Amino acid sequence: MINNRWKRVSVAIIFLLPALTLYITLMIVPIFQSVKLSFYSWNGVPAKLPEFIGISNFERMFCDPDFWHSMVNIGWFILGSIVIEMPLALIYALIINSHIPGYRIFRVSYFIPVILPITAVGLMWRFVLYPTGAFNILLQTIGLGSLATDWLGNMNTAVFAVVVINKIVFAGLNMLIFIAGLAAVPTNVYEAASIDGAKPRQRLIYITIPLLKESFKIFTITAVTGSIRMFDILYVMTGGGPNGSSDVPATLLYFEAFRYDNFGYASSIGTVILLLSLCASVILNYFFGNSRGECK
Amino acid sequence: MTKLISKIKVLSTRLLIYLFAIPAAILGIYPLIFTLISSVKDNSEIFGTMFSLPSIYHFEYYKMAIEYANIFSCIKNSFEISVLATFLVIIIAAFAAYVIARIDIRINNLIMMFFIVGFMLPVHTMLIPLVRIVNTFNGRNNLLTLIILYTTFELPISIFLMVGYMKGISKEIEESAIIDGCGYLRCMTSIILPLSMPIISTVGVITFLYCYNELIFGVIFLTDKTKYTISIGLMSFVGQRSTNYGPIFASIIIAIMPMIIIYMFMQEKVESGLTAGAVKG
Repeated sequence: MINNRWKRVSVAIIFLLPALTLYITLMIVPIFQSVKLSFYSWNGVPAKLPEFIGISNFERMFCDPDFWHSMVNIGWFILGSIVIEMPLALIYALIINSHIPGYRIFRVSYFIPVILPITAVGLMWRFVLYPTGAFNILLQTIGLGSLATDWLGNMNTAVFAVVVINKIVFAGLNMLIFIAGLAAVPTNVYEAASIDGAKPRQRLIYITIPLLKESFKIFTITAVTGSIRMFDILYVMTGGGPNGSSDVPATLLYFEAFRYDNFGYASSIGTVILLLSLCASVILNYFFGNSRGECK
Repeated sequence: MTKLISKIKVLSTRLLIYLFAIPAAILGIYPLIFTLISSVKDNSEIFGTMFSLPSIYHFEYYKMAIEYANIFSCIKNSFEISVLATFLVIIIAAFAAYVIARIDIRINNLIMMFFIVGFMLPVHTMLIPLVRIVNTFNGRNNLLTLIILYTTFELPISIFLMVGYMKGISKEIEESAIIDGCGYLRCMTSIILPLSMPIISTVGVITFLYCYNELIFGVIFLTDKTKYTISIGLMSFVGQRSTNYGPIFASIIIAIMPMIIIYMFMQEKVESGLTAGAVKG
């Protein structure tokens, strides 16, 4: 390459400058500012300076039942990912991969909700889940009419309704991860297994799933970190309600900051979300190990 | 005989698969169909049924949606932002990726790691300081604010994808160009960039989708109705007209039309782009 080192470095700096400037000023610095602000109290008025209050925000947070409730809700989202989304995504991927007649239509119908604005998807489902909406009608038609309720307006069901809808919609996205993973499995492994007399179900359990380990890792990390940051669909479908029953830390943050003007407290929630996110990434990466290079 | 039995076996497994796949597909599509049908239905007909077709087709609801919700202006805003942000992301990320992938500097990997950290940073944690910054520059209700923000937040993944791709381009092409007296800028724009078209279109698709569908920044920084993007416009329209549902459904259908059209034309690109985006971790 070009040998003049100074020229290399100066060109590198110029080319990197726009990206680095934007990235540092709008992502890195705000993170530090946010963490710092969590130790202050501020109502957002530029004229009033933030007041240093030490760890009061965190004390308040850890004593607040609403906060812990929001953390439990994150737990439901993570659980939903494992129990609903993962099997669905895997099954969808297997269906698509098997190329049965009509698989293209299936792929489109599983995937379309993912590319639409989350607002649109959330609203559409909101209307389906109305007390007099299509879902309750369905329940009545199959005789489970007694279960019909205002799914999003009922404190006991709201968060679960959102979890289920979220997982159904995003199974379509994660299906792509498994399709990519399935494509990477060499066909001769299956052939060898068939020759040895393995039935399709055995092939699935003993070959396919173990070889999808990398995909499972990607799925889990994406699902867990995504659950920790969950906001959009909740904002659209329930707004954290009713009565905060479907709140998650991100919605708490939004309301504390932009409705109640508690910017310091909101920042401390943000710091917790940040820490959770980082810890989850690190722990999950460690837990899954580096599986590359194993089965080659 | 055994041939018949195995054929029956294959068919019955197929049947089982369809028994699952078709309801699942309906599950995904139903809200869309329901919205479409309901968009021309009178209020009284919308709820209380699942599949019925309207007795009177109220196509004027679409006209109402356009007028009252400013749907077209919302779409225009969303498009403006998405196109400009996509354009900016491609350029800025390409230059940065070129350095990391092709220019030999000792701290290359460090810079890459630095950008990768961006994946793990939750947007909401940065919201409040960003609000402060935007207010300092009087950026509220300014589409440019969103363009810059969207560009910045899509940089990490775009750079990551581009670096991965550019590293795969063989070095000989550049080396012979340099022997012929090509500078870095020429090398990049005339050689690497054209060769990187696949990843550039992937990045473009991911960024466009992100910008068009984005919600939180729009909610916080846009209060002027004429500046609303699609996401905010829809939400506010629902808030207003809570009694007449037809036009609300109509506005949803209009709002998602561009995305569906894009998906129809660029299906492969969209899916591969989102796979790449999801696999990033």
